[in-house]
Amino acid sequence: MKAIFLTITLFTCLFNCYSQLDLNGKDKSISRAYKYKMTIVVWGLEKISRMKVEAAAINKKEGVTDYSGFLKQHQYDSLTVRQKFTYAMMYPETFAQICSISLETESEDKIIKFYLPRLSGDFQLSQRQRNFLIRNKDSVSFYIKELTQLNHQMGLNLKNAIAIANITELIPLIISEYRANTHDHYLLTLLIHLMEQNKSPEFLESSFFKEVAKNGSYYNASVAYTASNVEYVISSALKFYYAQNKK
Amino acid sequence: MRRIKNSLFFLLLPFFANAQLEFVKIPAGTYSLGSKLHGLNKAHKVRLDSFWISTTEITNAEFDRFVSNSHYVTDAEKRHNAMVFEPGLREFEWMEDSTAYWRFPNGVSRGGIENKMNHPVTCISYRDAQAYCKWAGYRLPTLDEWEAAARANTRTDFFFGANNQLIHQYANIWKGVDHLKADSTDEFVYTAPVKSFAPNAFGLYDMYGNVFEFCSRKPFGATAKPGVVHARGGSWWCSIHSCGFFNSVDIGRVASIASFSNQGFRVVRQ
Repeated sequence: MKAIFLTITLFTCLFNCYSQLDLNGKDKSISRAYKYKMTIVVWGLEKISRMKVEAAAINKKEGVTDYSGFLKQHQYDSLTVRQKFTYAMMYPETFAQICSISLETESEDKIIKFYLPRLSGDFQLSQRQRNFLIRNKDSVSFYIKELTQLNHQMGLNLKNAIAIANITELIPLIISEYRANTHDHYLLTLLIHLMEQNKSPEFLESSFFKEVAKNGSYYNASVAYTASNVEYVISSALKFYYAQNKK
Repeated sequence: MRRIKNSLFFLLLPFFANAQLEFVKIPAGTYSLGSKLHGLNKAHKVRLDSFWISTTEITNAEFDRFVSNSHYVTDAEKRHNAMVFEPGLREFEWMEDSTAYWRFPNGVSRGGIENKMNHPVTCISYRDAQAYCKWAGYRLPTLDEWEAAARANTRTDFFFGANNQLIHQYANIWKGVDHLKADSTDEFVYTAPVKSFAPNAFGLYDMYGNVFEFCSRKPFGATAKPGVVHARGGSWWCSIHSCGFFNSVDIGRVASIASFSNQGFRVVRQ
């Protein structure tokens, strides 16, 4: 039974990842391969999977049969902090906007995007999941560090959690992860996101940022993936990190 | 006698209820749809029978008549799971609001529809749209029917040509560079009254922008995913900088029980 739950869960996760890849144009760049890659989090996964089956049964009784359903509040409340983290990373539970499928044409090996991609096309983190990440920032930071060092990769779900919980303390980890795997340009995107989100004055005033923001919007913006741009992003992020720590 | 009168009343109710709806006939024929380079809506030819499509999206007034007569309760009212928007959110971020439903599409705190009865109904799910159709004796357009109607015999991404800068003449969309500040360039932060913008060559209003319109069936060549439905045409939320689905090609998707404040529909009769 345990094996069945785990298999179903892993299959669902992989399906979500691959369905995203299928939808996105013809770009076969290595960076794109990392774009929607998720880190599998297994702490309490079996218990959560079982709860999801129970929740789906309750939903069915209420007349909802065309989606699996997500944990009822009493089920959610019974999870430990670590299990809630697993749930947030594996099962975003709120509906996603319907026009969020991006169809880039430029090879992502040649660019650094300014915005992190969305999670699974159909769901995003709910308010209770976002609140959990923010309120348990220290624990979440610890789990992300543990998983990244164990897997030698940082999936989109972990990057998204860092952005939501605003975990600037992980900047050195993000940089070391990028240095170990330079194909994942979205690690640089995450650094940019953290600096922009925290309104780092040096970064917002930089010619680098102004060049990207000159058209007003930077949702679809990107810069060339060059040694100098990479170096600029990393050195700015480190400066920002040390400035934060002095406060 | 009284029973017969009552039966007649309920039999004819849908026709009275929809007396204000106007339709345009889309002729039978073979239509070239999709786009060669599109990831989801691949180029394809399809033979369609003639059908009549409503010239506007279903309004709050229309939906009110449906609810008043049928006592229908929408998904958002039952599940308190509607997704709403207010300026200040980052791109593609929506908020859950347990108070939101079609009468308060962005939540009670952001006002109701009392003065917006000629705006498209929103904050309804695909299932709600289907319930309206069943009551009124109509149906949702298929993805192909919607596109044939939107294109109005054109092959460009837009029914007005290839220049997307003309979109503002035809569609209520978001004009800001992001969604952090309200779009104050016109009076419509959210929906606009139907027929506020120019129609396409078939006389159909708001095919682009205002609200995403639910369609039935799956995209050509795609595999159906349980619980996932599709909608087209973009919405008031969409801007040139993000989303950009206000065209004849892109196909959006969402869970069938999700209720967003930029989702609505128009109807078809054979």
